[in-house]
Amino acid sequence: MNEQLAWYIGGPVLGLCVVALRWLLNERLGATRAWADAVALRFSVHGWLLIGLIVGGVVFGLAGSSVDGYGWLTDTFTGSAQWVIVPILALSGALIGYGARLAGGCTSGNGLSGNAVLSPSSLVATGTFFGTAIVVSFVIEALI
Amino acid sequence: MKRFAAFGVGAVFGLTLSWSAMTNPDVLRDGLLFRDAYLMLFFAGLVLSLRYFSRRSAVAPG
Repeated sequence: MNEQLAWYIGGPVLGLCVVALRWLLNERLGATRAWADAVALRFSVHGWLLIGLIVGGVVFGLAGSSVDGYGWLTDTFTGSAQWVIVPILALSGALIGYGARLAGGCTSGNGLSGNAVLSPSSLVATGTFFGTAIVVSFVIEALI
Repeated sequence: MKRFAAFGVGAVFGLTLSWSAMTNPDVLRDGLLFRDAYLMLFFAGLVLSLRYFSRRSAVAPG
């Protein structure tokens, strides 16, 4: 598990997860809804999906992978500037949550489930957040 | 039974995301800066497989 899973395996497996949830439960796979249910203390099917998602990540971590920070963020802000990471992550999380709810889904809800059925709103939402992420990445790269 | 199924799908989803390094900020950043094709290829493979499996099952996800 130390090797990164090949894209031609990882991508299709995630695709199968979306289809499996539809087959088994007639539900749309969406991480935002799962988080919204968890925050509202609703223990729905999506809540169990979220628990499974976290457990899957933990299993991978226990299988030998190590968490060594937040990449560029923890590499850039070190020493006395390290505190900056906390508000950046908190603000980023809040913006992601707000934006995903506003768009009716996040990368999984719109990007996977919505785009699979060529939903126009999902295509626009995915294009918007991918496009914005690309532009912001280049801006940060140029500034810092 | 529904809870078990949702938990199982979530676990496979989480494990695959982690194993694919989609939880690694550097991998995402390199993809968004077009330094590495993995992120784009991953999504392309995902969407294509999703379309294929959806047609095979005659059940549209989403």
